[in-house]
Amino acid sequence: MTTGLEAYSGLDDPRPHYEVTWIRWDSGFRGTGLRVGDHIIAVGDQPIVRPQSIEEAQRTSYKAIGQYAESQRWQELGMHDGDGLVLTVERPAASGAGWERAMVKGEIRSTRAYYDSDSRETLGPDGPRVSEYDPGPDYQWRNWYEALVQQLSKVLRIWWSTSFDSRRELEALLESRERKEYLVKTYPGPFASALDHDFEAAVQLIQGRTYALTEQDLRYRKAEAEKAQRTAELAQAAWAAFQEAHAAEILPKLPTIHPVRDDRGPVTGKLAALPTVGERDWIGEMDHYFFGVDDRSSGGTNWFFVDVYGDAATRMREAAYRYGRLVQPDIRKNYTMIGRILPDPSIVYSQGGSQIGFQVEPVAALVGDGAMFVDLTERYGADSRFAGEEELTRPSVPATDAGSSPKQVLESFFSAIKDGDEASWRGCFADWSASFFDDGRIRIYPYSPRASSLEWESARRHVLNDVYGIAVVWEGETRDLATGEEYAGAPLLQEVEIWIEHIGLFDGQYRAFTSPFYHRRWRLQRLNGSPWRISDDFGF
Amino acid sequence: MGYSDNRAKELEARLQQMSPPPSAEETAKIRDAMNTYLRDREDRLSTLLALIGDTGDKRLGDVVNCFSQWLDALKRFGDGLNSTSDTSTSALIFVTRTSFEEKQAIDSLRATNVGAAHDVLIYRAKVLEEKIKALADKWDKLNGETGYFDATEKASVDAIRGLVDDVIRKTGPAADQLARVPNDLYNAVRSELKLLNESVSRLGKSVGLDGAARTVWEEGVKVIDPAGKLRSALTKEALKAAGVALPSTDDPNPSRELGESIRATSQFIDVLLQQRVNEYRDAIQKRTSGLLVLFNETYNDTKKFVEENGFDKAKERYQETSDTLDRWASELPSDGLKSDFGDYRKALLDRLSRHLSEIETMYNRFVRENQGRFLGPLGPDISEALTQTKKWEEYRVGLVSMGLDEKVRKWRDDLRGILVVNMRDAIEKTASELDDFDPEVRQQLQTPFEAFRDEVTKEAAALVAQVDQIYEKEQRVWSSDLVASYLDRRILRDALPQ
Repeated sequence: MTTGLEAYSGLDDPRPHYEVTWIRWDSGFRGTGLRVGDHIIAVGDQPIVRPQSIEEAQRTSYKAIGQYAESQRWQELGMHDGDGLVLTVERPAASGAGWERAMVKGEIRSTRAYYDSDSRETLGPDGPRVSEYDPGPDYQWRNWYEALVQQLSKVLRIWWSTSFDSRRELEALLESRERKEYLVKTYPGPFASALDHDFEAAVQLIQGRTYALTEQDLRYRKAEAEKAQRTAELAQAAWAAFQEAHAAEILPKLPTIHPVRDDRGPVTGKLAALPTVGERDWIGEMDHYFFGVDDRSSGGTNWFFVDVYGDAATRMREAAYRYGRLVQPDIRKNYTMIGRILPDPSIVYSQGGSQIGFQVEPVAALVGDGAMFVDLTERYGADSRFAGEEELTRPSVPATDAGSSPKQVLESFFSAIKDGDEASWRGCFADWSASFFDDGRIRIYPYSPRASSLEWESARRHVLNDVYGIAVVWEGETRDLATGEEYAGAPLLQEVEIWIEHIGLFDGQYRAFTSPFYHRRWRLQRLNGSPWRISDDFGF
Repeated sequence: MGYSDNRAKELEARLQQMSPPPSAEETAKIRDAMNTYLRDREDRLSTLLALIGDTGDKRLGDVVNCFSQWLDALKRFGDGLNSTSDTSTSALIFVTRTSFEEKQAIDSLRATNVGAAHDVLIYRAKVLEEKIKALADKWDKLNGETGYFDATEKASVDAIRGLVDDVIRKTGPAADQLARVPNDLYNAVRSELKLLNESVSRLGKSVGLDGAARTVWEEGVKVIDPAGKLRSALTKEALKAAGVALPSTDDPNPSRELGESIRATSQFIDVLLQQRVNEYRDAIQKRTSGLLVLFNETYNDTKKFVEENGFDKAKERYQETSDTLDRWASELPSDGLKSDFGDYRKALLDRLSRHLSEIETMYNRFVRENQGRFLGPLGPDISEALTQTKKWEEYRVGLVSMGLDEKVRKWRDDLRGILVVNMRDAIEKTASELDDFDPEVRQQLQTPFEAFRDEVTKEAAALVAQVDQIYEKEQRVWSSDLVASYLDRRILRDALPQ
């Protein structure tokens, strides 16, 4: 007597279960809604529980459902061929959060063997003979079928393994398609039909679900050099256009009049092209700094000040900061500004003594040796964007706190990888660790730094090469690893599992895939109500 | 062990009370690890205290590093004790609980941002020190500019003074020189009349005056033509040749000083004074829109600086840290930690309070050096340095005391006296000379003489009118009040911070 199921023991899991690894073609549970990968948590009215002792495990586990001697159990229960059996199963909820529970009603059947009219064993009532080599010497049907079932089982339980190369497995699976088609054509019947269904379901699953990635989603992949080049070209063009558009206003040279003693009227409100200044040209007191330009072209000294913390200069510096985030982090902080001469002069203290000069408010700047240009007369909200920024703008890495969900933390984590924000990436890891002794006792280190720079570099390489996107597809339920009640001062440690899909580009389509290099199941923990943090040691 | 004594006792007691008790060997191992950790911790606490007491301005990095080293010591403590499955449950609980308590103590102390508080306090002291230097330097710089404007404005006023002096100098001798003219005129006319009278008298004596002789005499007089001769002698040219320089509005040159005084006074009033006053006002405008703008900018910046960086702000920051450290020490998870770190909190605050004292000293110096200058109501010396109001009152008094008013009035009065009174007297006196002539001749002379008298009187009156006009103009542009208005510096006072 058999259920026709194969199952893997999950008794050590916090929610003890048997995971369905295969449903034979003639199982009494075919067509009942049971799926490969389902966790059986109750058989009839008997919940699956962890054995209390090794002896009990030795005594019962081999005849549990889906195990090699399950028939003994059905016999002990006095069940007969065709008797109904209800299984309670859990599977990841279709909503993507937590588990959903289902009850499936199948039947116990006698173990069947099939023979043809020549009393030769066959695969199913109308199937090929098991020992036949058909159509060629490399294809003995039994070997082929058993290997294929293993393959299909693995594929249909795709989540089971993190060391699963889905594209390689797909190639291997597709190698069997021709023979499967031959089977369907040559030996039509329930066996061929069931195998055809399982095969195509596995192919569909292993191909991975499709994703529609937008240009915006993929913008991060643009090579930094390419982005820098493009932005620099836009900068040069915009700089030239700005100068041309304001040619009538721009003074041919910096004024040489004295900012206090002479009449500033003729130059007030005019635009002046200042020589390039860098951070070394900051002058002022510790509480207030200016870009200071000492123009000596007229033989004397003539100062021009740009308030570093003024509105326009702040927008200019923030644009340079955003360029560092969006294009290249190592932009040189030098500025070639065109600025408007303000009505009032200013006095600024520096180490060389106080200087009196003209106040200038920048209206445009070429930054970083021409790497970027920003027109400060243009505003987008509180900012002024640098030329080409719209093409590059992408959401910044969202900060996470105690109110963020595990899914949000993981999404922030992946955003950080894509954005090249190592600090945010590093901040998503737990700085504690928890593990279990063999006897089940938990040990927790309150301090355990994670995430090496090598892992960071590796993660960055992946998102710039074969991984085009990452999607969180399922979030498990929170469970307490330690309740805080174990002893005085014990910590409260909670954990949740998140499943993700990596998205690759295959034959022009973005599809989910798995690789031994990537981790699909992620664990996040929360210690004493702190923010959720990644407790795994891998970086991608 | 400094700041770990009570914690050590507490942990030792906890070690003794573990239940079920671990083996003696495991207990010794735990004790050993515990003592090693506490020694490491003590080192870190000492380092942290030294860093917080240090007067260097950027110690946050070192403080962060100190916490990292402390955490590393805690990790070594855990790693060494519960890494194998033969660790007893009692030991596991001991290590876990101790580690968590210590981690909480470390995290919460780190969260007080005591390192940042240190850097902020040091920074505030340095900012104040820097600001003291900066403001002193700015004041010097502004004073330099004040000197420039003082010199520029003074040059304008010196020019006005020069003009006034020139007018005074040139109006002084005009009357003296002119004073001789009536007498000269009298002498010249009298002399001419005498000559004429002598000619007529000689003729009378030679031909007789009675009967037919009179007819001959009359013919002779006709030949002599005394009226024609007198007319010729009383032309300006003839008088000038005779040394009499009669001034007129057309030609005041005959009296050089009168001409120069008229020209200098007129120019002073019409053009030069206005030029110089404009120059002065332009300088005042630039002082206001340039120099005083700079002063006000600095004054306002200083006010803002005090609001943002004053001692009160430093006290607030210190108090915040003090409160945070109080909470830290009182919320620690064990009595041993509370006791030890209660003392440690005091030590940290003691170090921070030294920095606060330094800020107070610096702030007091800052206030002392800038009160009345860039802080609070302006001191009179500062206002005076910026506007030079008193000094310019002295200039005004000096200009007024040059007595331009009085000098020009005297010039006008003297000229009026000479041209109107003296000239009239001289002509009237000259007219009496006609009485010596024969009545018939006298009658002939009367017409040219009267014509001459009328001409001179008219010219003198016109000249007097010109001088009166200049005087009236002078009165309109030059008085004590007007000079005060030219040198008005209220715009400067108004432009200062009120």
